[in-house]
Amino acid sequence: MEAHVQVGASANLELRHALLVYADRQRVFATLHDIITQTGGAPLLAPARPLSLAFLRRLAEGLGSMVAPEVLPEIVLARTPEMIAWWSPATRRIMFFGEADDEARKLNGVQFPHPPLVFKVRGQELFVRALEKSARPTAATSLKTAPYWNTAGDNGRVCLGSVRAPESTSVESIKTWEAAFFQSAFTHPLGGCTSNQPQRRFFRTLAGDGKQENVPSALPHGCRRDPEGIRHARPVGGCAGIFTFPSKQTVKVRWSIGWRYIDYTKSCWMERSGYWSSDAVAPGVRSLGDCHTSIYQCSPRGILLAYV
Amino acid sequence: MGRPSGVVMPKLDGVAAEYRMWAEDKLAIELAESLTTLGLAEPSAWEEAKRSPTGYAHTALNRWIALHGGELVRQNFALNVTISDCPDPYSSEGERRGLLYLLVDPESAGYMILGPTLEMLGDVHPRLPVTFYSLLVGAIQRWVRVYDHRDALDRLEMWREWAEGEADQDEYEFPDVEGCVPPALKLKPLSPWQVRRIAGGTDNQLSRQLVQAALDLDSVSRRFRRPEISEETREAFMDSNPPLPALLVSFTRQDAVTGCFDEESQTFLEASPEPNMLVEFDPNNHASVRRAFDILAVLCETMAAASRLAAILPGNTNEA
Repeated sequence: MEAHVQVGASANLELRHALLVYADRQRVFATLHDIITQTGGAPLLAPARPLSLAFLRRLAEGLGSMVAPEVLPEIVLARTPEMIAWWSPATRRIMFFGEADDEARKLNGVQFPHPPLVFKVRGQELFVRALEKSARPTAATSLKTAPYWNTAGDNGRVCLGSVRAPESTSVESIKTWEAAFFQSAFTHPLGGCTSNQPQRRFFRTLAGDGKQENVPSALPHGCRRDPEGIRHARPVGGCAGIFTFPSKQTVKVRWSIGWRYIDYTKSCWMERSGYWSSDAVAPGVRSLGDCHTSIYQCSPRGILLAYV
Repeated sequence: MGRPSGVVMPKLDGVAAEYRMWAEDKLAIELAESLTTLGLAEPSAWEEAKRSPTGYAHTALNRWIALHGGELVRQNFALNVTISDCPDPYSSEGERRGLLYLLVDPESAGYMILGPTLEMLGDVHPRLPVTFYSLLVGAIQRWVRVYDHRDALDRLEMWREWAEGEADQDEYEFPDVEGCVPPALKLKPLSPWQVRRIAGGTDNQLSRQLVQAALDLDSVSRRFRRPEISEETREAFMDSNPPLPALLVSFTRQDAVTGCFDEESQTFLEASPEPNMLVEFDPNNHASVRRAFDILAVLCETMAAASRLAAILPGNTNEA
């Protein structure tokens, strides 16, 4: 009978092999040596052996650059030993807000419509970006800024803080990563959302209090007023927005190029989310450098989720 | 005297020959503490184990197995005894509940040929073969899985069902498992007192020894009840195969039972198997640790008694 104890992750790693690397300015050459142990003495280097592919494979496995075989579901977009990326269709999710903001806390536990999202986990870091359409993105699909606190606007990195996140980047961990993101409290603005107020009001609007609400007042920090008193948001690096509506809505959108306005009224035929680029709104506008956008009127439950 | 060649192996002075990683040792430390308090581990083994709680528990486990007939068990059975923080050793996943699991599984199956023994006992009394068989296989089966003619018959039935749907079912040839089972095994076993009376009255010394060994084996195996597995732990094995057999019992060498075993064994590991025995225990609870080790002791002693019996079984020499 053989006894084994496998508790915890403790391990004794013994010196088994040594690699010696020789190099000049052009070439590199390596030899593999076994180790001869001596009782009470320093270990000895055994004669050199050429490196084999099998050894390199074992070494790579030992260093963790091997991905365990897994069946990849349709939502997975990319997978490497250190990273996994997946997308999530537009859906309704419950959100929670941090204790520091009393107004936001009133929205705790309410279901909100969310745009389609792309998540990426690299090591212990989570990134989240929004999508234009609720469909599996391709390599050519451009990503949008996701409309969340605790999320950097430039690269989508999520400030996890004390969130209990999974340790792995396996397919199985996807649900846990999403839960870690949505079930944690959103506590502070970051990057694309530089002010508490806009998002709080966005979500309050979304939760619905029955009153008409002018969304421009809820646009992110960096707004400016035009001569008519309409506040314009300065989008992050572009001129388009992702909008989410829980029901069919008629939305008026005002696009401005410089100080010239293009009013655009669109019936939102989409149940959940829509996306307008400046091309769609103002045909012929190719240069987005000076464009600003705003929604100046929509019914209570409409919400601007992200700028592009 | 010749001069030395002058070839010197390079010495790696100052290079660490070993690195030790310590992580998630809480349960191992609790187990080591409990084993020491219960006297199941020798404190002197702490240094031998290089101050590793798992190494210390390993030494205690080895010692416990040796105290309960481990050496004798090794002569006929290849069993692994594992203390793990995961109920399914084939999977690193699984919920950790602060419990440890004592698992027993075979590395390979032992082998007993009972035909000659049953024939000899049949000469003493017609119902002695079935009684002996029930005592022997029943006692071992209490603790580990035994593959015998009943498993072979189940396999046969499955093959027949598969063949029924085939167009060329007449082409299939099935092993004659029923034909290799001695008719005496269909009789009713004797009661323990009848066995003792009959065995005591025979002049055949080997028969007497065999029956006594089977009675001893039966008695040892009953000292503890096989522990129930909790619902939470059972869930980890929902998609598992049956346990791996720790013993194959046939009637003659290369008979139909052996054939079925050889064929079925190719699929034993298609899915991870359930353990032969599993005891859940709380390393922080002395009574729980004691109970787990006591159960292991009974398993070891049962298998040691089976080994003693195997040593005197006629027709079980190792030649091919």
